[in-house]
Amino acid sequence: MPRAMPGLLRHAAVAVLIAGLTWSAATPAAGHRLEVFAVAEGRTVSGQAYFPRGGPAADVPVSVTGPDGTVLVHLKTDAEGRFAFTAERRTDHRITVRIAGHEAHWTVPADELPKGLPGHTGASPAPASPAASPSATPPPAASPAVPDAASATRLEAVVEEAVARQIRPLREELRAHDERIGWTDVLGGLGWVAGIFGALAWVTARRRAKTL
Amino acid sequence: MHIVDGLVSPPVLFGASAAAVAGVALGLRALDPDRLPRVAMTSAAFFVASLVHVPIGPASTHLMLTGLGGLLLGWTAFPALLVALLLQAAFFGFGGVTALGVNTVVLAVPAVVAGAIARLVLRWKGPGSAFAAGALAGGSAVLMAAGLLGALLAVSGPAFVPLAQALMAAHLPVTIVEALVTGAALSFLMRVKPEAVPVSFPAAAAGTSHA
Repeated sequence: MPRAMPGLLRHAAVAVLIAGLTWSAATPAAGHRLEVFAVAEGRTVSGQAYFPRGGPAADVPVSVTGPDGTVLVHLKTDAEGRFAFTAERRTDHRITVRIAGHEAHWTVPADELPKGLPGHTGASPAPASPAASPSATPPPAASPAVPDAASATRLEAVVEEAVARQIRPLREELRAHDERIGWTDVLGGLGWVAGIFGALAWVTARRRAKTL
Repeated sequence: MHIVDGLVSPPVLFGASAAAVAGVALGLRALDPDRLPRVAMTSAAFFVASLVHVPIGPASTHLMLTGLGGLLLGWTAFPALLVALLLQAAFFGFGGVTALGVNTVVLAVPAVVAGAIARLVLRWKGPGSAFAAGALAGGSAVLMAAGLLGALLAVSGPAFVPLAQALMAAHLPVTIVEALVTGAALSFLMRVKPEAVPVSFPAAAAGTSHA
């Protein structure tokens, strides 16, 4: 049998091994969860399914359901885990991705979608101008007013879309930041392990003392 | 290989959870209080192992260390794994909370079986076979776990059968990595701290010299 290493060297070797494993655990590592994220830019809703720190979820089925559960869209992610669809209605869109036992959800709330879209009842929203009558017979006197209201709505939609596009990288970064597993998480878990087994040790020691 | 909530059918969930409770009870009964630090360290190792990623080509996988745990702890691997899985679910969101019983059974049963077989090999072939015994424990634990999970999924519903098959295929690279890592870990342990390995070597102990 090979000779056991002298005491100090043994303990040092074990300590180095444990430190190395813990360190490599706290650096970016393959996650096990599936995550999905989507942003509305105007009518286009685009997003990505991925494993945090583990890469994209490619070629995965995506289902989009409305608030009442009806399936609105059915699509698949591309090789980079990205997908996109056009929203038809101004309702909450619940995006679900499922792969090999993992499931992830993301809801694009209705108010991220442009106001010009029909609501879930299918009715068109009333025009912004207070003097408007049903669109079938616009009064000639009001015709200068209607283009202004329409262009104001259009401008609003364009600005909203531009803003959404600009802050999208920020949102993705924020999400990635939230999902990072850092030192504190690993150490917290290890602390709990020590605590649980410490409590167990205390209980068994007391039980032994009683039986002596 | 942690499954999320709502994946397996209720009968499978209840059965597996009951089996997990039984396994943990057995493990706690087999627990020698003097060995608690060892159990705690193994539980910590399970907890951390899934964060240690091993790149395989474009993808990467993570360690499980269940084979090593089963070899070192035997039935006590059940509570050690349960604690690690619970903390992983709480801290990292790996796996569902109601699926804890299933996840524990899927990982612990193969750990115990693989560990027992590897201990037999180690005892039979002697300390020199540490790497081979470790590799056997690590690789078989992963394969059996994948197979068990696939079986539980398949029993839950026939729609899961292709998923079960995909699972087995997906875990082949992990099996190889786990076998190598466990083999290396065991031979390291045998040299650095042989008393940690619960195998009594017949007659060879007389020849050991301690400095």
